[in-house]
Amino acid sequence: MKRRGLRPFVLRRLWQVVPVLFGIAALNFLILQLAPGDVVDVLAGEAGAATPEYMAQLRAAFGLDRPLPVQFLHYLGNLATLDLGFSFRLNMPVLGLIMTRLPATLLLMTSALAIAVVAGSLLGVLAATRVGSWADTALSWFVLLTYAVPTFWLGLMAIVLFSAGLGWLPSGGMYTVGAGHGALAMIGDVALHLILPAVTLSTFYMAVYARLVRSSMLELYGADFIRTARAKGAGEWRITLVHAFRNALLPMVTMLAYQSASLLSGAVLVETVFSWPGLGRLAYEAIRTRDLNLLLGILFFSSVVVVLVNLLVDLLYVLIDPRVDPAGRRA
Amino acid sequence: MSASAQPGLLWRLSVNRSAAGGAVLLALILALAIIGPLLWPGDPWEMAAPPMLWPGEDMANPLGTDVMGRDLAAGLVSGARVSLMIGLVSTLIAAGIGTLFGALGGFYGGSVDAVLMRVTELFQTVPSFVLAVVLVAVFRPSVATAVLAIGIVSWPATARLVRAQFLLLREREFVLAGETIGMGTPRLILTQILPNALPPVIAMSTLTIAHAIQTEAALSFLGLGDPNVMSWGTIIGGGREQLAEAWYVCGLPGIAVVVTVLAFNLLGEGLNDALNPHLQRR
Amino acid sequence: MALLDIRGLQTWFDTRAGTVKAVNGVNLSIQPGETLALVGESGSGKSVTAYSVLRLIEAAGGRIAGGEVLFKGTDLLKLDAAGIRAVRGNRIAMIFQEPLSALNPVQSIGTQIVEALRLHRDIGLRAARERAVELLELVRMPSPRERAEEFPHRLSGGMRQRAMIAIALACEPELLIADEPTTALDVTTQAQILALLRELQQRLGMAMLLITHDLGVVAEIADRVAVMYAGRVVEEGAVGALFDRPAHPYTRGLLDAVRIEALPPGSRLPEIPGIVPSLLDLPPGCAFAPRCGRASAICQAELPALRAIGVGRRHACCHPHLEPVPA
Repeated sequence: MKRRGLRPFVLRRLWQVVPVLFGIAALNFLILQLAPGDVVDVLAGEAGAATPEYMAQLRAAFGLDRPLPVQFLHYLGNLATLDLGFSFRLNMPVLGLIMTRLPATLLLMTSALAIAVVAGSLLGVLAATRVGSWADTALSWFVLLTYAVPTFWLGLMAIVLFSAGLGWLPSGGMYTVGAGHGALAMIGDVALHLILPAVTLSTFYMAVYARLVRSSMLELYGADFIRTARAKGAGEWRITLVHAFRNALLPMVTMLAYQSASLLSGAVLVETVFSWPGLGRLAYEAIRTRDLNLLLGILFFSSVVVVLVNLLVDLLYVLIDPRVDPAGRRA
Repeated sequence: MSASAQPGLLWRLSVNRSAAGGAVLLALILALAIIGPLLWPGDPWEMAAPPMLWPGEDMANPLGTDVMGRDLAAGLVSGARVSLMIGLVSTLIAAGIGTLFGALGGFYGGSVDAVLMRVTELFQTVPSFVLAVVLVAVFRPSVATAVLAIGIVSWPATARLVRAQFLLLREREFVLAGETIGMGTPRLILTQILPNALPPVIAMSTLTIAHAIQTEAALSFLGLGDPNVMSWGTIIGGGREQLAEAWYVCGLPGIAVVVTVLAFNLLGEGLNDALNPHLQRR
Repeated sequence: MALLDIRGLQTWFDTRAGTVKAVNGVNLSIQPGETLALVGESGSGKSVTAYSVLRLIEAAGGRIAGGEVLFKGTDLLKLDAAGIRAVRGNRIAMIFQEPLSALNPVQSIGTQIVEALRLHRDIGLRAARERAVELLELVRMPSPRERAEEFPHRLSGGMRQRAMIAIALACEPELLIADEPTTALDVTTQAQILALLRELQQRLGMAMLLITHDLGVVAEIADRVAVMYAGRVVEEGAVGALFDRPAHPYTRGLLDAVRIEALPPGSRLPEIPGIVPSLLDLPPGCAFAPRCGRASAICQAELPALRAIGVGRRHACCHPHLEPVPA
């Protein structure tokens, strides 16, 4: 494979991220300005968790007497140095809190995505090779239903069935408290706790991918190069997997970029249901305690995660579609 | 699509199976929301019977009671009204913002379009549910903030659709004709382009309602619902602690959400097929 | 014995409007090493005939309703799935009209040649890659070793068709079916690809079935020509004899307008007044009768059979032209 100009591509895309980050910061600032009370009330937590002295100090530091643009610049400066402020409820810097919770969220998101991609592809290919069969019909019902089921409710019902009812899987958390030692035992323990939340989060995307793969496969079956493969003497399975499915992956990757934001939103709810100690669970705790500064920090940071994920998806697309010229236009 | 296509529309909708199914489901839910309070009068917040009464145990409370002894049937009816209202109003807001942004960007193009599209992209990058959570939390949970927050996070898809429509219609003869006879821009947009751009927007808005209802349920599940209003999400959130002993408390309102969202999705898909006949499967 | 012998082939498409009899009783034969051109307007059934040989028509929604396709005495229509796969790309290969869409966009052309080799030959990956470069050299691909790594969209139209030919020749087939191989190319490239095909055919001693509506291509490259009209062969013969003395009024109509000697590649079939009858509802008699100036009552009543008028010359007409085309 000859992939020229991959480095400039990454640099250029990184550069394009800057205005997006600026926009997200501006949105956050706007919410702060519009919030009832002044910025420091919001930042310091409302119910008097911070001492009056500290609040006075904060007001001075923020220059609330200064004009808005100056305040905004100040705010930008804070964000640029990754200073997201302090959570007076949890008595920790917001960034530190987020960083300790981020790995759990990333683990949940990537597992859910992996399940969705693998299972969705399988279902989609299966349906496409058997159009009109009972399996195809069952898939369309599954998709219809999945689109309507709220993820958090699905999680609750999964707990009812698999934890409370059958007792197969733990109902929440990430580890068993006081469980066995050893890295292997721990990985197994986390994996066991991961199954229900990851499958719950993946279900909707599984349906989306299954539908997408099915329709792209059907479209590809009529493509000229599939006919060429057949004329070469390739068997139906080879045609389906090597030729059609490989090309059906492309729209799937495009879809992925559209969904990274919604996947993060879904993770917030799933983590709340399963007490999964990630960003979403942190957000839930922040809601309960009205820790608005922490909540705004999570909003800013999760947007940044989405931006980075989209960057990765773009890179992935360049790698799997040789027609995309990293230097710019699609050839 | 001109007015002459309208008589065909109802017919096309009635023969479309998913549209018909969605409309029937929706009629049932609407009927429940309207006549429900007559069947189960009383405040859904009030203790009406012994707590944790299973559905069917006592016909005075056909769907049982929750841990506080509140009647679930009354709660579900109240939830139906809340869900439909919040879904509709927030979608109106989203459709309004989306149409405005899409129309301006698509009509003027150039830098206006570029700026508006950047803003649209920004709203698609920020995780919409997290944004809705922040908005409701900062501005205090109430029906009004929920409606506004859901509206504010739901408009980008509509904006993109309207923009695409405007880009297409902008160059059509009847628009150019309107321009040459000296129609002003607002008049051109409102009387010539917008009516022709609307049908797919209506179909999409039906799907937006479905999503808004899900978002509302999720917000009130997290405790961000209006504290004075009993919605489906509120009941589910309240029933979590007793999930193992009384799963129906969470189960029933969830089924209500599923049925309602399904109804709007089916109707939306049917509308899509009926309004874009050329996109129909062969 | 003929290399390929098509007898009474019928290929139908079942549509909502009824059964389209796209190919309705075609008889053709190709000798080893010979080039047979199959000409006709679009919709005459020439491509459907070609796709029926390798039974690729089923994937396109068609159905072979009758007849035999004998390849060295074996009826290809009676082979099981594995049997026909062993013939495809191996003993009979095919190239197509639009080389860009006929090549897989996400595989390098080297990989696509290697696939063709390894489907039919017990050959290691390294050896196959070497062979792929040799094949690209054979089709006169400039800098073949580098080109093998390229993806189809990075090649010119002519180079793509060369790559396509390299794929087809990978297993040294005895018959190459070329479906309008030059239609999508510009005139200069057309001539180069035609010259390449002719040269390769002579060097490798393979037979070729060339589907085209380009009379210039026929004059340039074919030994024999068969003319199709509404799903049937209406006339057949050696190129020189048929161009000098077209017997069927349809063929004559095609040729009247053009001077054969002056035909450059790219000359399309001339327009003949009237419309092709619907394949859904063919008249009982000769399908050309409604457009034919010589038609009589008998033409509308019965379907004329192919009859021989000399060595290798056949036509299906009740009122054939017997005089040569006036010079």
